[in-house]
Amino acid sequence: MASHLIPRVLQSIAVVFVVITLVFIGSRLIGDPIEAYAARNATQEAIDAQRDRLGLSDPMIVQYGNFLLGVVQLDFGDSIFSERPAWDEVAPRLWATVQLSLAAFVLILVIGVPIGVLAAIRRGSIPDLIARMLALVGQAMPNFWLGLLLIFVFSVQLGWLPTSGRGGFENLIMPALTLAGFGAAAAMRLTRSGMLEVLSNDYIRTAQAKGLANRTVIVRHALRNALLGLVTVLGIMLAQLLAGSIIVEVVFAWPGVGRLIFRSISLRDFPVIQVGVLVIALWFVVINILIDISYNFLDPRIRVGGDA
Amino acid sequence: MTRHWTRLRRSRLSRRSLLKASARAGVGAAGLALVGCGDDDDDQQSVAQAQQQDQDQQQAAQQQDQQQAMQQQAQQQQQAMQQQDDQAEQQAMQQEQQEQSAAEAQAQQEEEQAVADDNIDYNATAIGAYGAFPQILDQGSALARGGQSASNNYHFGAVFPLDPFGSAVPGGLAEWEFVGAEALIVRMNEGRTFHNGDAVTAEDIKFTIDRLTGKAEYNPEYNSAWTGELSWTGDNELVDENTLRIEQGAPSVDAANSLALGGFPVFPKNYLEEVGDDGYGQFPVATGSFKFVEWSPDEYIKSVRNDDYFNDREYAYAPRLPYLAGFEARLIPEIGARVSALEAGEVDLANSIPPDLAVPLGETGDYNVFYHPAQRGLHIKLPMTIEEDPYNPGQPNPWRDRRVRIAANLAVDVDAITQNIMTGRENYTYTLSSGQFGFPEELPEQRWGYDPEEAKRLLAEAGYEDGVETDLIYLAGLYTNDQLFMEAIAEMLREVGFIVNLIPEDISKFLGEARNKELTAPYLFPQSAGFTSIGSMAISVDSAATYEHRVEVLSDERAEVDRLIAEAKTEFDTERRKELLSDLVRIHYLEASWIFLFELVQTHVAASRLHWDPYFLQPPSVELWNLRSMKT
Amino acid sequence: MSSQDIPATEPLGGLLARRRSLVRRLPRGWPLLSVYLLIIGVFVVCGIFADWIVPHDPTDQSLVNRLQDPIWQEGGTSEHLLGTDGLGRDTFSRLIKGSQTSLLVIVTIIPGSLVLGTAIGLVAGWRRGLFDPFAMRLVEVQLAFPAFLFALLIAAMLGPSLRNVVVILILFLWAPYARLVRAEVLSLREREFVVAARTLGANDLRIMTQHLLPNVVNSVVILATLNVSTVIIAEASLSFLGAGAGPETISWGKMVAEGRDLLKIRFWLTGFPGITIMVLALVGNLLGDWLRDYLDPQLRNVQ
Repeated sequence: MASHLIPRVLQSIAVVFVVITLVFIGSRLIGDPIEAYAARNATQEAIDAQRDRLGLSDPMIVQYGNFLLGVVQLDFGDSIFSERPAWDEVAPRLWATVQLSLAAFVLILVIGVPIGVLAAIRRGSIPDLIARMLALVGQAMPNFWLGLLLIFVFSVQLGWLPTSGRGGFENLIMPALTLAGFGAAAAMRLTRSGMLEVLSNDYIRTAQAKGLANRTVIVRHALRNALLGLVTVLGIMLAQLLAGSIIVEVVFAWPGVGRLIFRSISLRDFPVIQVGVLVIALWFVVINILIDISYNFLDPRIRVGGDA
Repeated sequence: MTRHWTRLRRSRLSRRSLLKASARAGVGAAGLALVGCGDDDDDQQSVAQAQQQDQDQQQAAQQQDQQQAMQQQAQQQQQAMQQQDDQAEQQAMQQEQQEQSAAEAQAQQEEEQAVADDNIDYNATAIGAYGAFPQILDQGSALARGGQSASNNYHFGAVFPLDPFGSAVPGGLAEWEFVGAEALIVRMNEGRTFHNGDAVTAEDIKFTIDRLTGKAEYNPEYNSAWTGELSWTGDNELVDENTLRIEQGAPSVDAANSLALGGFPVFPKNYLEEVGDDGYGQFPVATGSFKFVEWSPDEYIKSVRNDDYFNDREYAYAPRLPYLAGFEARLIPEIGARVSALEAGEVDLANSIPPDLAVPLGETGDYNVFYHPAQRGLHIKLPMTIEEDPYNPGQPNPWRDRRVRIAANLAVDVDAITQNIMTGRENYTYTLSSGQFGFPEELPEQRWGYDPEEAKRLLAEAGYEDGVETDLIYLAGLYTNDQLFMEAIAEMLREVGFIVNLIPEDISKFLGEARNKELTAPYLFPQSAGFTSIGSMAISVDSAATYEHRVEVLSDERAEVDRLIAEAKTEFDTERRKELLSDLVRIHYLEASWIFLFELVQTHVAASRLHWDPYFLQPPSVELWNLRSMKT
Repeated sequence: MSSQDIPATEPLGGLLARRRSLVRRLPRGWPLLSVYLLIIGVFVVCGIFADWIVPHDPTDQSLVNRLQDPIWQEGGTSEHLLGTDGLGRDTFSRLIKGSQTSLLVIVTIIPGSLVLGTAIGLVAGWRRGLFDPFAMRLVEVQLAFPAFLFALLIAAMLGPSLRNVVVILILFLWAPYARLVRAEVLSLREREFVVAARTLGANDLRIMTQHLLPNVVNSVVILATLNVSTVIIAEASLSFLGAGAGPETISWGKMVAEGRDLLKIRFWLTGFPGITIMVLALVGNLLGDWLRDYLDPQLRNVQ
């Protein structure tokens, strides 16, 4: 197991490295905010001095080296706007986003998978039809629109839930539901189709022929095999929820890291962009490693990283 | 049409004066009622005065107060030698009084207001939803640009207060005295404190000016947002512990005014040096009418009333001690979500709501719509400094042809835009904003009205039968409905033969390009016009100097324009200055130097318990100190 | 009928390949199928011939006629069937014109990402070796790099435009295909028929195209049909954040975004394009389901 993991982790580090390199290049290409936000009568000398202070007048490769050196030492530079360490800007918002993402993921699991299984077992029944319609609508609904509709119905019309902001559990419900909407629908569909595929396989029919109880067959064989295909998709979902929460954060005024990066891009506050994306990339690769590990347990036929 | 300019001013003046008077009587009475309840009204004298007045005398007293206020104001300004002319306003006011019907209607309104003032809940708090927050809470920093109305404008206070026309008056933190055109002497008033209880000293004022002009020892590289406004300052020195002498490096009629601008920050030297720039950006301590309590960036900013605020509610000028006991600003970027939050009762005030949504809400009777005449005369600046047409290298820049510029002005139906897309209360603008400059009375008769046929003819005459290709740049999402009215303008320009490519641009990119003078296309000018007094003209010219001259005309008139600006800037005779400025505005307008649009009126929606009227002619934002919550 | 005749990139191609069986016996669920095809047909016709069939010029403004109600509401007119937007432009005409953009986005992004992703996934899963970890790390880079943020960076750099949206979405949507195909190939490569083919000396190309590809087609087709809605919604979402189609392009996503502020008082401004997006996505998904049932011979016998 460990011998499989080590190269896997090294590869993941390479992934993160590539991502932050791309971000470094991207955030240099959009330019820096020094001129835009310099004092109104600042002289060119003052602007140059400011650039020197931030190390922006160094050659790109030197800047890149300094950046990597900083990352290794967990020093990501100061935000240009708040002049505080960029990490201090990201950290408080990170928990907000992780909270939202995890809540959404739980909803995906709780809504998507069971309904998908149910729909597959009762294929063609009314519940199946409803589930499929739900899934289709869920996947066809842009999430900012879903968010606005939820606000309109549950906050304005019914007055059950607060419209926005972060606070208690009730603040979390609608953003999480909005973020989960698409994923839950996709999970429902994929669970259903995965189950149907497995159910049609020979070995299931064999098991059925052997006289195993229908329920046991489904749980022990079909679900396990259907999950194999799902783990990848669910894993990607969980990993991408973090990055995909920008719109939900905007609609529900959720003070998260997605919105921070979004705004930092428009402000050209590149130290903050870099840390923000680094965090998202780390989150992603860690979850991917977990997915690969879970493969080993789910399908012994696959030898993860064995000959890679 | 001809009275367009003066009418606005007159009606505002009358309402403000009356409000002031009624606030004295009404709030005084209310204050009396609340003395026993431990209300923070500390002006016992005016309470006592108010007590002696019975209801029947109130009307007369109001008139008297109003006259006194005006005289007092005029005296102060004459004494100060440099204040701009308010004679026009006084005359306007007298005329207004003759216009009985209007005046009576307003008096009635104000009277109702005075009665309603008895119902003010001084313990009430409110929550306001805003579309943008600043990155940091340091009002002095250029990095805090954007979203200040959600915070800094009420945490910070200037050195001097302002009258309703946006002119500085001595008082507040300090008194002033001019030493000719050489220096400004600032004498501190006693008992003024920062939010942390420290006294405001002359040394703090010195520190403030040094910090904002990049001379403070602790950090000479401070990125100040106020250098343009303070460009008149030279050296400054402490005469004694209560007196600061500021040399006028570049003599300016606006020296005192620049220290009174809305949101001008006064910093506590000791505290700021202790916490540093970054610490101060997270926890500002200042002299504003609200005290900062805490914030969560991107989430909320909590404040409480500064109960030690030195200008009480009977004070003649502004800002004053707030009515609200506390205020929380919430960041809700989506307009729809802001409205929903208001309807769900989570917030009491939703800022910057498009009229399409705001007006129906107001009509339900459950909400108050605040019409906020923002200090922004919107116009499209034309790239006249460039010789060559950026789209057809080798060809002359079409915008340098006056006929093309006039055609563009004739092509845009500004009234149709304001009537249909905006609130309908916007005024057409002939210059930065109508409150800004001396205004030539006859100019409206020469307005470039909507005339697409004439526009086509002019374009053809100028040799552009096949159209003029151009980009049109704006900052998407900065103003209410900006995408709508810019698309409408683009389409109107296309109708007469301009080939317009509309580009919504990113703010950082735009500001960088503007600073480097890389903008080669017409663009919607995105900055407020400075403050609204006639005298603040110099500020708006100065602060724009690094971008480009705001007053842009072609070479023939350029020298004349420069002369007028330079002369007006140091012309202490108010009548003469107004003439100079009128000439400037006239040349600029008749040259069709910009595409002239309108003065923005923003709409905000509030719960019915909240009331607000603009104190200033053109307030920078909803003035929080003037926001009143009625008992329900 | 061998399943290898079904090209992976063209779900409808498979349908045509089965023309003979269609003649012999109408496919199951054909009434619904014809409804799907009709809707898709209308969409495609609208997209191609938009400029000829719009009742009004979709860019024509009329400020006095702004925010008109649709015909069935009080105050609606037959002049503007679905009312007008904030600038008095005809919503119906804009919907028709918007189908052009959606069609363009779909026909470029879906095949682009599908071909790219499937090819990479096949090679990675079958050949493995050094290419596999490389490709999978590339997938991870793609997936780990938040596409939205990348799109925002690009928009901040170059300004919003449809071309950027297409390129970015292709670059980010191939990864799920690659990952899916590889995962399937990994379980297939140990299967008897693959082992047998290799034993019989089939070369890699033949195994990948003739044995592996047909077996992953179903999953790929399902993913591609899911992607129809993904693509439309991604474009809408980018427009929502100001990084989508440029200001001169009419797109449903932008219409939803533009009308969203007035959702409460003019629901149909977002409602119509929103519903149109949903219907198209719905039909795409339903057609995908149908294809799945129809193409998979095993599944057809399952109750």
